Amino acid sequence: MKRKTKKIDISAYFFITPSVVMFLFFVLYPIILSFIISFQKKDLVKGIWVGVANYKDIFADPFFWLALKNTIIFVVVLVPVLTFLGFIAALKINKLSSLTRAFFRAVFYLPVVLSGVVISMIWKWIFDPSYGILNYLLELAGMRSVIWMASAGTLYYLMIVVFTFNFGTVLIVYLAAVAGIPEEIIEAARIDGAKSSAITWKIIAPLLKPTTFFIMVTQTIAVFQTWVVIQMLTNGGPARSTETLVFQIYREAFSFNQFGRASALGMVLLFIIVLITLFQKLYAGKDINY
Amino acid sequence: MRKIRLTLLLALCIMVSVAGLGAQTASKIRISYWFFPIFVTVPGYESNTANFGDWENFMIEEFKKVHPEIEIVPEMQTWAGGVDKINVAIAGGNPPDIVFDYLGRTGGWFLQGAGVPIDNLISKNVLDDILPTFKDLYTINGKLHGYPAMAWIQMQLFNKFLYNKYGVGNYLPANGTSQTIDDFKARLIAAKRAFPKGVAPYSLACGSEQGDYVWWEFIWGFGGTLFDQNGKIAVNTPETVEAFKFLLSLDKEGLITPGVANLKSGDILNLIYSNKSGGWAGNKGNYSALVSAVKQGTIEGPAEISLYPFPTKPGITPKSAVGPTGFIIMSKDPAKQKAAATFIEFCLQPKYMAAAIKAAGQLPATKSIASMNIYKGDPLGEVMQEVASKYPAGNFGLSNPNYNKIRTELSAQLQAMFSGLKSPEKTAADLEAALKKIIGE
Repeated sequence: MKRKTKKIDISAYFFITPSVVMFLFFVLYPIILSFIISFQKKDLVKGIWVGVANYKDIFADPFFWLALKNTIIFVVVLVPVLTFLGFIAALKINKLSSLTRAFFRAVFYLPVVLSGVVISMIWKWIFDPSYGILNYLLELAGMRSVIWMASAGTLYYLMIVVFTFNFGTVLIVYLAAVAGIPEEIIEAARIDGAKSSAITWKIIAPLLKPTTFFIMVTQTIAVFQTWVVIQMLTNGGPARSTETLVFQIYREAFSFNQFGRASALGMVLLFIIVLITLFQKLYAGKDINY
Repeated sequence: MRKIRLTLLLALCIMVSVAGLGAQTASKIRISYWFFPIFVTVPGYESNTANFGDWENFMIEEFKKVHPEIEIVPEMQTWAGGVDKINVAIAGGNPPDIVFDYLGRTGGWFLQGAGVPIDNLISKNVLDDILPTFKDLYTINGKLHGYPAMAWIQMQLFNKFLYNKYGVGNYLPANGTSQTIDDFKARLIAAKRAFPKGVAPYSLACGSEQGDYVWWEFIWGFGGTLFDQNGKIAVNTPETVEAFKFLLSLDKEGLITPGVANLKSGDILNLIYSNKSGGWAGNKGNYSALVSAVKQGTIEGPAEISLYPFPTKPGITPKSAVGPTGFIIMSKDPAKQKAAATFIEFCLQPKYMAAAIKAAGQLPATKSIASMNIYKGDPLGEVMQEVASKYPAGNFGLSNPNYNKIRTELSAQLQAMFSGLKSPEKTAADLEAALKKIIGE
């Protein structure tokens, strides 16, 4: 029997070339360069090879561990909350009329399309101790005003802001996925006597597993990279208590011009994100294929 | 045939034009000049300088008349991202040829190898014109790293209109009067009693590293210092602790805007220009902005300011925080360096620079302009000049290679103190330990 030869359409290469070139130049090349720089004591102009000294310095610095802890708290709290609330909200909104659905989609997605700086500024006004609306409401209720951005709970208040940044994306992805579930499946379950909670958790949730996995991975990466909110609202304070890894990378590079140390921090962050993504793939995404 | 000939002729014309343009460009030296929005409505040149950037463009046009062989390409940077952009340009190996910026940054760039010494580029008579204090500040490793053009001086400003409106104007003595710590606090206490809710007697900010000099002013007022006489870190002293206790008391007693640990210098400006702060540390430039705010009708006026040196304990001479701004040459090409120096010398001519300095509300850094008494007839300017000449400049590490780290550490430690995480004693001890580590003592 004659073996069939597989015909390769070379035009496919032509279409993926721009993406590959962009990836090589703007992603892979900077990662490799950053990896090399992480072994140097490098300022704006000069670089001296120092081996693993930057990594040693980082791991000996208590503020690195504090920033890592803050970043992990962000991820551990925000990713499940975003995923869960996004899923629930999508189910509820999907049942509404198309006009109301469009309204909620627009409202929740607005912070995603607006500049991060603009949203942060609005939150800055809301949290302002002298003329912010939050303190105004507290005082109306006869309570004491709070210094929101310089208190023990600042990290958690920042999470509310980060939540508003990311929730729109989660909701839109879930809404699209929920709309794609065939109505017959739900109808069949109802005919079989399934209650709405069983339909939600035993039928819809498993069907949305690839979406949930996608959201968890992308949101983990997004939350790990939280920067603009910190920069605009607290500048890492009070007393460096709200610094995250990306904030530290920015500060080391652009305030102190220590590109070697900043690159080493970047490599550590990359390693953590890859590790978590692999872990998610291994456990949460076992039977998911794209 | 005719069509072909016409096409060939057209192509020839285009080639000749392009070659001509190329030749013209090649004969010119192009100098990139990056600066920040500082000068606007320059006295004597008001019609040409209504917007930020207009002054620099005007200077370039004037320069072109005498040096057509040099083309200056200006680029105004924003305060928000301009420094990052310069850093990226340097790191990318394509820095601007000239930058006009604050010593706290130009010194750092020079130390990293991004600037060239100007000792042999600028004419001797122009170099000799620099006031000795500024020459010292601009000398790094024995070389003059840039040319200081002007300097701000930090003073305490009070909104006289607000103090008068609420009946406590009598707590504001004549401009320039020296004041004790007790005078200062008594004023704030009186203002707190008189001012309505939401208007603070005074504002301080340590939410970011900017405005670091304000904190040093208070430390100096209690007799503390950053460096001792041998140039070693000497922050953990009873004087610094006393200053910290005093500052903490201002916050606890509600005499300053709430949220000092999170407020940034820019936030204070917003409070000033909305009449929500009765006093702050600043310079004469703030007054011009206040006048604009009143003119635009955004706040009640008239805009009136009282200006004083920072308060001290009795027997302690106030020190001034002085922040010079100047030119630095970054080009590595000798021909460009020479052209850049020519442009800088042109800009430094007293007839231009004196007007620009006045517009910025700053002080001259050169002998020739200092002798012109540019603020004659301007009460606030005269006070500023008097304070600058009367009191010595304090050292807050501006020309130290680790200046950015020093001030970042100061703000972090102060944030901890104002947030109640550390006592004044621990703040001083931790600050000293951290600064010693940064400097490598």
